[in-house]
This record gives sequence, C-alpha cells and structure tokens, in this order.
Amino acid sequence: MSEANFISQLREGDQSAYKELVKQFGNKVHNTVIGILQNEEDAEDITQEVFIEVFRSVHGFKGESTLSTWIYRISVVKSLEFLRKKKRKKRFAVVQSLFGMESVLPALDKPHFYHPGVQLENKELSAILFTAIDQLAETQKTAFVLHKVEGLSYAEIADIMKTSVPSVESLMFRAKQNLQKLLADYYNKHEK
Amino acid sequence: MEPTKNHIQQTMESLDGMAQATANPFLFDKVMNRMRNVEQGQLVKPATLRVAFAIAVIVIGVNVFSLLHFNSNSSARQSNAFQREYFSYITNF
Repeated sequence: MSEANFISQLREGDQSAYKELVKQFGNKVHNTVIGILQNEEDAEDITQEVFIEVFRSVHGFKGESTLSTWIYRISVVKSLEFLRKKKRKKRFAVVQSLFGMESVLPALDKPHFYHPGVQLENKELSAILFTAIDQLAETQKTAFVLHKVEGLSYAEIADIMKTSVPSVESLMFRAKQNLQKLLADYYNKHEK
Repeated sequence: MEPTKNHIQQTMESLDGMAQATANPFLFDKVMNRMRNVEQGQLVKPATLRVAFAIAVIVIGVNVFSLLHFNSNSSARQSNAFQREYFSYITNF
C-alpha cells in the first residue's frame, strides 16, 4: 500500500490503519522520546500523547514531508514541551521552598538513567553519558539523540528539525565537544 | 591525564550498537482508551458550561432584583422617616 493510501485511510479514521501505524512507529516514537526524556514512565505517557496528536491532526497533514518525518517531529516537539513544563514546575517548587510554603529539597544529583537497549557491559558508562546529554542545549540534544539513540542519518535529522545537513553536522560537532567537556569535569571530580 | 581521556572516549562510545527501546505491547489499546476518555471529557464540558451559565444568570438575577427592590424600599422608608422627624407638625394639624 502506498503512503498516500495509508494516509487517506488514517484520515477516514480507519481503526486498522491506526493499529498499523502504532505497530510501525510505536518503537521508533518510544525510543526517541525515552532518549530525550530519560524516564521510562514519562516516555510511555508522551508516546501515547504523540499518537493521539498524530490521529487528531492527520487531517491537516499536507504531505510536505514523509509520514515518518512528521511523526518524529511531533515526538521531538512533545518531548521538549514536556521537559520545559517539568523545568518550570521544578523552578516553582524551588521558589515555594524558599518562601517556606513547601519543604521541597532539590535533588543533589539526578538519578542515573539506564536505557533498556544499551548493552550490559556499557550500562554504567552510558548512564554517565545520558546525564551529560541531559545538560546539552535542546537542539544539540535532539540531534544527538536522533543520531546516536535512534540511528537516523544527518539528512533525516535535518528534515525532522527543518534545517540543513551542514547545520546538523555543526550541531553534532558542538554536542560532542560539549559532552567531552562535561565528561572531563565529571571524571576529574570523581577521580580525585 | 591519559586515563581520563580513555574514560571519556569509552563513555562517548557506550551507545554504539545499542538496541531500540520497545514500546508497551498494549500501546494501541492505551492510546485508544485515552482518546475515548478525552472525547468523553469534551462531551461533558459543554454541559458543565451550561450549568455554570445558568447559575451565573440566577445569581445575577437575584442581585439585580434585591438591588432594585430593597433600594426603592429603603429610599421610601428614609423619606417617611424624614417626614415624621421634621414635618410631623403638618400631619398633626
């Protein structure tokens, strides 16, 4: 079946097409979202939200990009929105604790995130890397996760982020540089 | 210095060859359930709005009524009291 036919089935609200879409993209969306959010429960919740958004807005999908690119874009946007909301809530909690409204103690260290797909021997090192990834700027983090966690090419990432391939290359270069700096700080602290 | 460089290199390469995280096997059912719940929530909303609007109309109505009724009564009472106080001799005649 061609993509155009599949999209028209989705637009008609065909349940079997919905099911097929979740089957085709469920793992891709979940893997991307979990890479950005670094939390299993939050990722499950946002993965569901991504598909709800896809089903609701498929009528407005103009076909300017592929279905895959469009779904990845929604996944990234939803994940980043969630992270921003979470950060705002954290800031508000800190302000509340300053005024003694609530006894919220900010966590000293974020708990390590263990990606379920990482090889066992790399588990601890990847957890350290994920902590560093979490400190990158949004665009660098998105490009890095899409490339290293989801395994997309620079061209695919450029489509998803609505930018050019050289821009993605530059984002990846800066992301790697920043990660190396963050890891150097981490190891210098922990080796002393 | 060297061990740190090695550590960094190893850490940077720790995601190589990783597998994809798999979604919940009941993802489709969960999504459909959530969509149904959202739709039900949307259906409830206009009804809630209607009730809220009706309550607002009643509250405003009661306010307007009490304002007009008690205001006119109180001004009549005031003028009666004024008459009794200062012009009582007129009625005494």
